Amino acid sequence: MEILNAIYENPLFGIIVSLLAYEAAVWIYNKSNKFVLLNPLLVSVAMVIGFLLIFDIPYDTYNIGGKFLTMFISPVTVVLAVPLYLQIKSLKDNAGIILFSIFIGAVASVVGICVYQKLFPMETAVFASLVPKSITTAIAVEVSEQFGGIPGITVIAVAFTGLLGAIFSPIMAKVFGVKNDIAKGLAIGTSSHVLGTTKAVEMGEQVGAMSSLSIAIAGVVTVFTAPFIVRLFGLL
Amino acid sequence: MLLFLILKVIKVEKIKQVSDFFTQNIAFFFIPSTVALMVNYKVIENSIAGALVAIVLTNILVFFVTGFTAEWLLRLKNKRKGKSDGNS
Repeated sequence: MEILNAIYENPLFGIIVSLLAYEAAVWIYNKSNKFVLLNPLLVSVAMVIGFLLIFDIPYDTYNIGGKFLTMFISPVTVVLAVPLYLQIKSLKDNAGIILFSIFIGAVASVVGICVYQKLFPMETAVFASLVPKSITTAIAVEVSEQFGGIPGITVIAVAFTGLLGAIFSPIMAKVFGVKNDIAKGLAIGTSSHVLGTTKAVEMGEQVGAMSSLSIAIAGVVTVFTAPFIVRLFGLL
Repeated sequence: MLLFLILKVIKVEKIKQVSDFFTQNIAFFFIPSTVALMVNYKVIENSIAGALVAIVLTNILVFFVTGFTAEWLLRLKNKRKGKSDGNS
């Protein structure tokens, strides 16, 4: 038993469990012809949770290694500068439209969640945790804490939002008649940050570039506007 | 990084392969934070249905608002450009 505990508490344990689950999930995803509901993140999380429950391993033990992966989310986001660089010309040509659309979208995100809270009140801490859900994790956690939210819930909300984006973005683009690649990218990045962007990159270089750009800008817009919007609605 | 690329300190060809790999696998780094659901579940137990609906609805809203605004403005711009091209 002690040997087992020593293994569990090694930081490598959490990392390897995640890696194996992810590899298996990607394999399943590819085998299923990229069936949307078998999204690799969704499947690997289910496997890890199942594994931890079966072997009665506490989350905190798994997270000794797991937290290193979470730590890497922000630095890894930097690689999205590459698609952005490859599309810098269309960015310059449409800078005004791009900035305006992202601004409107980021504001709509916070307004939307506030309206929802007015209509169907949730616990205040949960509401506060959801306000920044559309932006990238690192910034989202800070906004959430500022409002008295629970970082753990914010991180989950962020991941879930991103997952939705990664799965449903192509369908939403079709339903809403968003045909322009720039508009698609902006919509994906603003609504579902890095995870949505992975889908955007698959959809095309320009879609990916605009999506990556939106992550940073939507994050900054949310940081500055969210406090005002929340106060405007008399919430928190 | 964008600055380094623009200034050509880093050549894009050199990192394209590595960056493509990471771009495709960013989801991997989200696993532990999503697994946290198993411990935070109790806190959100009562509001989980509401929270999920809230996330889904606002996600659709943001996608629509951003996509529609951009699509419409770009179309307007292209139309105007087309007109001025025709005049000149």
